[in-house]
Amino acid sequence: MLLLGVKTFVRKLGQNLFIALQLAVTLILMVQIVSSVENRVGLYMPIRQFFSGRGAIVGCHMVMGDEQEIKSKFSDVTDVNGGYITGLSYAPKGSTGEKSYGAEALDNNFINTYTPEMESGVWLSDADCSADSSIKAVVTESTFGYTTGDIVEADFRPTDDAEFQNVSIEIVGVIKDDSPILGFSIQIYNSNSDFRDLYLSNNKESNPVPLLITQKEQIEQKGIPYAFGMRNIILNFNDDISESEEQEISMHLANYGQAMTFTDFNRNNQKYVTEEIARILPLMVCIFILLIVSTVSLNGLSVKSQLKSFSIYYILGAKWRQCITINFISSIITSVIAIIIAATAANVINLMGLWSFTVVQFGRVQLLSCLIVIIINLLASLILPIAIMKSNTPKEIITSTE
Amino acid sequence: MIKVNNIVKIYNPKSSNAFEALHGVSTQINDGEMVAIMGKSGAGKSTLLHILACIDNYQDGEYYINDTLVKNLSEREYARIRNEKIGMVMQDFALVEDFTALENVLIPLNFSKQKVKNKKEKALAALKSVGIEELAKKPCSKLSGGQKQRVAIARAIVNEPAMILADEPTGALDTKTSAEIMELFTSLNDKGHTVIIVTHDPLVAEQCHRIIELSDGNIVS
Repeated sequence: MLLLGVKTFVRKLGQNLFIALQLAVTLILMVQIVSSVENRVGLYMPIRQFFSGRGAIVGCHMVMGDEQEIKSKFSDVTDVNGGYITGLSYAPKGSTGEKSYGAEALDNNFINTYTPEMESGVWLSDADCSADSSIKAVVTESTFGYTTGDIVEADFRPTDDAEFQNVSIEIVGVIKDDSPILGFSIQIYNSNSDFRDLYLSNNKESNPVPLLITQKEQIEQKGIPYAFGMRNIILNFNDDISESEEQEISMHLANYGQAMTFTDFNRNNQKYVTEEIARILPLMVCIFILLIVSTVSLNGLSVKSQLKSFSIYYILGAKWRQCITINFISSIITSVIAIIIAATAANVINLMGLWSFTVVQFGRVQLLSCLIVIIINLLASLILPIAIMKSNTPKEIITSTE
Repeated sequence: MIKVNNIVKIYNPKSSNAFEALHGVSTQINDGEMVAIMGKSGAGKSTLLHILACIDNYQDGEYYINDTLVKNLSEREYARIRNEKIGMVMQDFALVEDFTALENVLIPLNFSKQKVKNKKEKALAALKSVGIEELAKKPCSKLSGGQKQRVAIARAIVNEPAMILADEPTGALDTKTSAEIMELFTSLNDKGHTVIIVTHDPLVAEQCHRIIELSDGNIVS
């Protein structure tokens, strides 16, 4: 059966290579369209969870304290999320000067919510937060020169009147330049702000001082102080408060910086996402229709061109199921070749540096969409022959092709 | 032995243009016979042959192959009969043109439910028995009509079926080649195969032991 499937593919080599090429183009189109969608809404999906119910975002221009302090000041606050400023200070690599640069921290909730693109190494993980483990950190690309594997010597004081203590921080990863990072954006700008403003893209040219990001749970264990402030922070309120109460609390929070309620923020998010989806929806629909039509027509043509062969196999003792299997094997070979063509083309474009001018990414979602395209093609190669061959008796097929 | 009792075949039975091609045809063909089925166009010759070959169904009656009723069987059983008990030869040869002669003859062996050892040797032996072993590796698209029909016959006999059915096997061939092909059928019959040939050609029919004449869906002699 396998041999006949291969021979069937080879018999119509030109046709099948053309089908493979068309399928490869469809795969690349799918990657592009999925990347476009992801570029527009991919930053929204991970953080949606923080904005259910009532709450506010505050672009703090002062230190607000830790979560307990904030809850004690605002009794309706049930949860606080955001990046922390810490009591850690360090110096550029190799510098003997004063350690005057501050480190940041994220809690495991944020760490697990969104992973920025890494230049090297790995993102932070909540799997390594035991009291005995050393402090792990990631750093953005910068002129400070820190790379994966480096050890940063930092100082901190557990309290204001305590002596400075030294702690070693292991760099486990370097965040790629311009990669969006959640938790460290500076402020909510205006009433039109949306989820995009919660991400900071650190560029080493315009901002040579890196972000050194540790894990809040780890530094807490070491007695290193931390607090919310000087960043956007997300505060969740009690579920039973009304929209007007939400507005009132936000007005009080405005003492700490520009504040926006979840109600307004979600409205802006929905507006942006809807507009962006609407913008690319016609293209998505066209590509999907193209996929279905090309898959059906090419598979139909392929089966039609082999109908006589299949009817010959039938007369010689094959079951229709075996003929369908032969066609399916040929279709699998076509799909594999299409994947090879698409992957080769993508690599060539990558080597030419052309992807950097686009939003195209090759992540899990893109691979999943390609898999769906391949599955649709394979399903068509199974279903269409059944429809075509079952609608005629073998005798009709063989006598009509005589 | 093949036996058909009151076979009725209706095309498009559930539509307004239903057409009864065979009206209760009955006959018996014994093992080792060489029989010609003759009649004008539209008499039902090919219809009957296709029913015997299990590539078409029938609405009423019974068809027996060696006392086994061939009716309402599973697809697997029909496939097995077509593969093991019947060798089919068509007017247009019904070869996979892109395959070589050898690859065409291997097809029934590849679909055989029995474990066939030495498939290639068996296929070459079949080609040798029809006198074209040297053409084994040649694509069928490059063969002459007579050579193609020999390949079709080799393919029909490679699984050693008891029965060979041929639908106008000489219809597309010249006189000389037709004679050569008929010699092949005769020699196969001499070796014990039952041969049933649908033909318009009286010269072909007179080489058979018996002629079944069909007219308007009925056997008239």
